[in-house]
Amino acid sequence: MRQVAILSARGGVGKTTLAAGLAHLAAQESQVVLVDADVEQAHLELLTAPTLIAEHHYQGGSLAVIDADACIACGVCHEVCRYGAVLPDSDAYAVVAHACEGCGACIYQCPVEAISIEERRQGVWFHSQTRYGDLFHAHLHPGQDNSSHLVTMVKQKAGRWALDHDADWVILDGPRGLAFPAMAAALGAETLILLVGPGSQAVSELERMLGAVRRVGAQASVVLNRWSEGGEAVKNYCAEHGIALLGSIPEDGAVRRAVLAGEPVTMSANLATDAIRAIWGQVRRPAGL
Amino acid sequence: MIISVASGRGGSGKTTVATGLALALQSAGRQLGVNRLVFIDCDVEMPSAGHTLRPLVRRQRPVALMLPRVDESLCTHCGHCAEVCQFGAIAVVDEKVMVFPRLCRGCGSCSLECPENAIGEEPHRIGQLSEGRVGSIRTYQAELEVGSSQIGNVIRQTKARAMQRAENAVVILDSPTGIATPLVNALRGSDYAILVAESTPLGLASLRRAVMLAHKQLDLPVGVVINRDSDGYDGIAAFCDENDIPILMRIPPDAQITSATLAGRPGLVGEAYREALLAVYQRIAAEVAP
Repeated sequence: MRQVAILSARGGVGKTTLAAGLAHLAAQESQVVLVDADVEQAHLELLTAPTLIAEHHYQGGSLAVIDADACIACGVCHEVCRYGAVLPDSDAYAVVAHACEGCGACIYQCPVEAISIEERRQGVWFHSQTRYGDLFHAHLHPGQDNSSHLVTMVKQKAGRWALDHDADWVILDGPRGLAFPAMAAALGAETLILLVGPGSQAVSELERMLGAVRRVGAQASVVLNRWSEGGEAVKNYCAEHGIALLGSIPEDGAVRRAVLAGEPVTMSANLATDAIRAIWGQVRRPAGL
Repeated sequence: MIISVASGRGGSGKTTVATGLALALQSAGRQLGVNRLVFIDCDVEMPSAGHTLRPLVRRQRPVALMLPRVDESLCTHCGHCAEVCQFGAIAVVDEKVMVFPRLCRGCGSCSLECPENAIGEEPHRIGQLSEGRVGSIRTYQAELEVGSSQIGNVIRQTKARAMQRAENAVVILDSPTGIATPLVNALRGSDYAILVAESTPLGLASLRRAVMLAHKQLDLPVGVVINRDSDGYDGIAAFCDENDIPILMRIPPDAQITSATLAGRPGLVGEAYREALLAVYQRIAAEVAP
């Protein structure tokens, strides 16, 4: 089993298009498991027409809750909270759920033990079937924290499934950015693709991403998307720093049409498909070559 | 008044709209009673508004997390700090206390709870805040230290700093991407949220979740800007209609916006866009006015 993960510095550069395309091409010759590790914006399900098999709640993180009857309104909780999450509420104090980080400082400081900690229901994760392989995906509930734990969880579920079913490939669509969720997605991938969209800041963004993934010990390669001109700076940077450039996907109206049709762009013949096919040719080469 | 510009999904044009609105208000805001303008870039993982606004940076300061520092001469290694820490950021192993900066969220609980008063705090860098000015706009932009998870904290501190000098100002806040806690930290305290959605099914999926957070949970008034609005898909407008959410502006697919943005120039320039953005502001100002 080999893992391919796709990340990008910013959103909207085409991670999901590439992930769906690679999964479609890989599924033509091998057994694939798909992971949507972008739990804040799980969009692989919009391009792969999944059929839901199972749905599970995800519990994680914690939340302080004040018992208004026991509260003596001394205000100590309000004073110690550094997140502005405890506010006066009529004759007592109350926790603003979306601001609470679950640190417990208020619980320990409350003189009358009126505060307790509760587990939060932070999201849902799914196991689905698609014509390209089983898909593991999740939705973080809006406003919740700890999305890196949920990322790790869907990855583990998918990895276990892939091992049990002797899958050849795990293809992972990652979250944008360089914070913990993205690093959780990057961990353990043999092929880590950093997708770089056009822009005058592309090289500095790529540098920040490389700095972040190196911290988790990952070796990254680069794919360019939607560059019509000016990609030389990124190409030169990759050449100078010994980073493999796996390909360049041109701007192609077929990508939008595929999104509207809800299918991988590689289902039809077009320039983007040619490029993704060439990238898949690079990715599928036996490890070590 | 704080107007936040947000989008669940990256690449939807959030920063283009936020910077466009700030520049339109700078050029014509006086007639509308806007005398002070503040721009806060809260997209601290990949701040990009500065590439378009190009402020003259006048001051840079570190953004810090208060990390526990244990005075070993007072510590009795009782382990209470490790018990109270909900994040596993402090551990007592034999006769030594270890602090893990990447797990600590700076809540201060260990320091408050230490029976020997052996735990003080020291600043630990989690980002850098740049303060500047372009024309009459005061700008605040923070950049998260690579490897830090303290996005919400950097956002809170950036906002707090910016708001110290924002009395009677119109504040335009460029939010972080996504729908998790960073967005909560950015939107809290705002008066209005402009949600930018690209006109595709992916844009709609993101918009639904952004509305759930900004409107249903945080109770903010919201309006939508439809970006790359073109024939062949009307899902965003249908959703807004169903949920009684105003459509503030429609931006057509415009190669000029794309090329300007890529080159680091403002995308929404020209009289037509300027008028449209000023109309958006007037509509919002009328809605949130006391």
